[in-house]
Amino acid sequence: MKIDRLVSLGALAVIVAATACGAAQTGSAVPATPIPVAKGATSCGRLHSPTTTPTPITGVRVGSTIALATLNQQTLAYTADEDDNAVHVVDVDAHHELGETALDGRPSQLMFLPDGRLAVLLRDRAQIAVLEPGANAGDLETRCTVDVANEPVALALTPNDATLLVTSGWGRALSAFDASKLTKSFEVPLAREPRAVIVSDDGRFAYVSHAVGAQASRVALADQAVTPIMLREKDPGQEIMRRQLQKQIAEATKNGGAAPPWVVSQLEAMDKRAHPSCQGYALAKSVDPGGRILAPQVLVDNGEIEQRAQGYGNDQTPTEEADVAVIDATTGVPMASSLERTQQRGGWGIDRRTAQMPECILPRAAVVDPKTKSLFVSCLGIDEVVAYDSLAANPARAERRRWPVSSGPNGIALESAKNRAVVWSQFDRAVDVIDLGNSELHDDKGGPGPATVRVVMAPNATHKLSPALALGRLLFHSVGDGRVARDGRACASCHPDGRDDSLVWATPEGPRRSIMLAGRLEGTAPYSWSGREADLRAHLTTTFDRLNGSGGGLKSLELEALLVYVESLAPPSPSSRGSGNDGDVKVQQGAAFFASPSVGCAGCHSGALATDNRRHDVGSKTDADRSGEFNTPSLHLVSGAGPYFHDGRYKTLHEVLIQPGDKMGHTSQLSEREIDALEAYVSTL
Amino acid sequence: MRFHVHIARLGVACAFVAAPASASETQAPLHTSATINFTRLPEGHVPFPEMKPPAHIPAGEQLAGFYLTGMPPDQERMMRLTNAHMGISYLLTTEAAARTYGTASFTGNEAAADTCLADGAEVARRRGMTADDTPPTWPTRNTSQLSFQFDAPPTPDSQPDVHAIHSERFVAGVDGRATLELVDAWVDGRTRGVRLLNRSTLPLSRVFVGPNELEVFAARDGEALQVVLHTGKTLPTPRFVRDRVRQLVVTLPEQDIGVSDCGHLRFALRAPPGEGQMGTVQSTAFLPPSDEELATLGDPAASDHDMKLFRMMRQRAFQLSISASSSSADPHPIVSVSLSWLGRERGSDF
Repeated sequence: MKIDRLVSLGALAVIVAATACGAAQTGSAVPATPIPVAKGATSCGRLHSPTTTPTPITGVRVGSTIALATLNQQTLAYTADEDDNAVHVVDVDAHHELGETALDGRPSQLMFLPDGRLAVLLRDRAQIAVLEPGANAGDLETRCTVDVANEPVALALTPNDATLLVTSGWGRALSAFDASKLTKSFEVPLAREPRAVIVSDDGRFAYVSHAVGAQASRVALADQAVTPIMLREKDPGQEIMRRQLQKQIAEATKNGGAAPPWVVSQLEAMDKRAHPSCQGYALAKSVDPGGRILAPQVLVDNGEIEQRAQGYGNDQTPTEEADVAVIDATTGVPMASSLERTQQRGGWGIDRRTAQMPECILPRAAVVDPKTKSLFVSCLGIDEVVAYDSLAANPARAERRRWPVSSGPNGIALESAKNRAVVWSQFDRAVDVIDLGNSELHDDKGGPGPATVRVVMAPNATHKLSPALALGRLLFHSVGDGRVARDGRACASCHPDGRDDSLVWATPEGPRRSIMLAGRLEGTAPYSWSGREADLRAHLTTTFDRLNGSGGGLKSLELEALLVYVESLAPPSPSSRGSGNDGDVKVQQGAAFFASPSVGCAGCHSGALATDNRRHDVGSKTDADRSGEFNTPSLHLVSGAGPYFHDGRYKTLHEVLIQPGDKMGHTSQLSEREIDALEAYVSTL
Repeated sequence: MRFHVHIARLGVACAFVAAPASASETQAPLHTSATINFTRLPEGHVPFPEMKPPAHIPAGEQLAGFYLTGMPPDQERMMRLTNAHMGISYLLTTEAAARTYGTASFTGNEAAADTCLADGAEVARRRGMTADDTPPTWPTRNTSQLSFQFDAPPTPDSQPDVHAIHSERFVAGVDGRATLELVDAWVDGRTRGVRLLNRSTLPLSRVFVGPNELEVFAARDGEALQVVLHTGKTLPTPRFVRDRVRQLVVTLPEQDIGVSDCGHLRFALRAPPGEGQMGTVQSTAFLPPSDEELATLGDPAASDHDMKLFRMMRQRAFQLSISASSSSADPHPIVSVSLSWLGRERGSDF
């Protein structure tokens, strides 16, 4: 890359980084050398006296990218910096950074344990690192690491502080550990992409959000039974019909009779048609009164997939709408009112040009303020913290206030005693300290409201993120950028964490399943299901067209940065499942079947990335498809990416392998055990 | 006509009363939220009587608060000229309004402040759109006058002449209290006879105040929440703006919309265990100009003073949400109110 372009990128990165309001304070220079770790440390216990080290803010039992503690009446913020693989310690009152501790991996969340140790999840290491504040306020010392299922992403404690729960994203699991000894109690499998976890006030259930799949999960901690909670849009008109159908079932089954099949199938069809949700990254609980689990998410209108659309999804209405699902913590059932879409904004004198508050369609963290009963949600893309009424029947329609923050807010911690919120923003590597004020509705010209103070972390000599990557990441998460999408969607809307939203979209070509990006772009050209785009740049242009974005408005510098970022997206680490002698044998058997000409998988799924980069007709065309030929998808990381086929017709890998008619490969001659072996092998790709 | 205007302090609800312009007086600030104790709300009931309309009502039967008048002469003449074979009668809420209707003396909505009418014919239409287990309620389309069309002469296919009409009169009290006087009546559009069907009152307690002095009152009706939105007594000038601010549009549950041009709007929210409902108002707040701008206004006695002042006003869209919801752990519905700006402010562009 030419020097002048590098300079431009650098300049742009600086401009882009300086976007917060309020006073900006930069951290003082801190040592880049990590604090020495005791070699061979195996004990997870504390070494320092708790009376001399920071004390965690009490009552916080949910992890985040930021955690608060107090020392000598000063408040310290501990932030998980996934760019620097480090934890920063910030003096919130003095507004400067005290120290930085290097980690062996990328931290996803951290949380103080009851005894003051800091548990930090290392996302790319499948580990929990246990640290302890040291003799100096800015110090952290590693005590031990504990293995956990692949890609740990969130933490929570039970109300009695006895059990530490960890969700693993790619590992699709909820793990439980003894909070003091950090020995594993159990691990239970979950649906795709679990993220946040929170425990009900009675300690009986863990609630887990999922980034994709239109659901949450409720796990009974006593017996680890998992109940899915469907989080799909509730259409008020449909709900009336649903209640009438359910009444018919109740009457029919009252005396032991059977539910009428046509009623059951009508209900199932209604569920299937209901618009899904996405972006379930955060959970919070209502406080005083309790009893509600709050799940910020996005309701998605992916269009009528039996028909072609002009773009991606419904051409007439906004495809994504911010929502907060309210789940009854006792029954595990969501409040229907919380899943209703907001009706078109109206009212007298509403000028739509100025009344369009940007939507929080990339929510990342949530916390409830007990004083005002407000739910604070940090929103990527619009770089704001939005406060909703946590007790409303539909919190997303009961907004209260907004605060602009630094770019990339993905963690919030509340300090009720000092009436403030402390926010960690990853893209700017900054901490924003928000004075929550007195719940007055501020008139901008009536005098400035309480100021937000910004503390930027000191530059790190080993900082890995180049200006191009930084800019590309910003663009990838940019909400409301008309150059990307007319309705304000971000790239991250359909590709959360650079993966896929597991949805099938109505498109001009027919139904199209979003494709996972991270780790699956290099060497897999051509792109898209149709395979007509020879390179990524062409594919981006087509995508912007379909999103009705004026993609041509992106400067070539910006397009280049976006490409650099997308190509840099790290794949999740391979699963360690199936390891062990029996598992290895099964995988080897499956590999043999895969390569066998009689089964025929390797005929198209060949090479290191399991694709021949060609188009084939495997008899999968639907009425809405323009063509029956589809680009052979790479099978790399396929195990984590259901549903399958261009129209998502197969929910699991197993269903793909036993698909009738042998239209894609020949598996009808294989036994159930042989299919299992084949599946085990494909899952390792 | 002189408009007398009083300007409120920056950052507060806007109110205009008869006084010279001044920016020094302050009012209570607006808040973004309130949580209301359901059990402490006054109790009452809004009945929905059984609908068995009489075939007709003699012209001599009258009821205070229900004043019917016929078509103005010009309208009558037009009907004759066009062979419309149709008559129209108008229901208004004050005798003076009925007497002056269709004349230059008619002062319309302003004279009938705080009394709203709703036509029960809407109820039958709505029943098809709600679940069987939802109790019938009076429609949420309130207006200060209604009209009834009838065939002249009547035919075998003519629609019934007798309508069920619901009237609500908002009576302000002290210390944040108020009362809604509810009168239901049968109204014969042809004979202009009126017969009482039911009379009751609903005690209210003020729970929140929004921009433009938009007041939120509430009452407990069994386990349902009755909400009454009441537009401020003192409203911005000029009159066409005042009339528009009196209009309320509320998004209600089950795809319903509440509309009122008569100063208040009542609706009910139900929250059985595990459920909830909300009513949402989106409207525009008038915000006063800054002290610096006021200083440039000039002579208060100037003829263009009020219009200049109005053009300095700032407008900002806001959203007010009232919610009632219950988790299975809540012994009673949780009631909360939220207020937020909907967008950036803008200048007046009337």
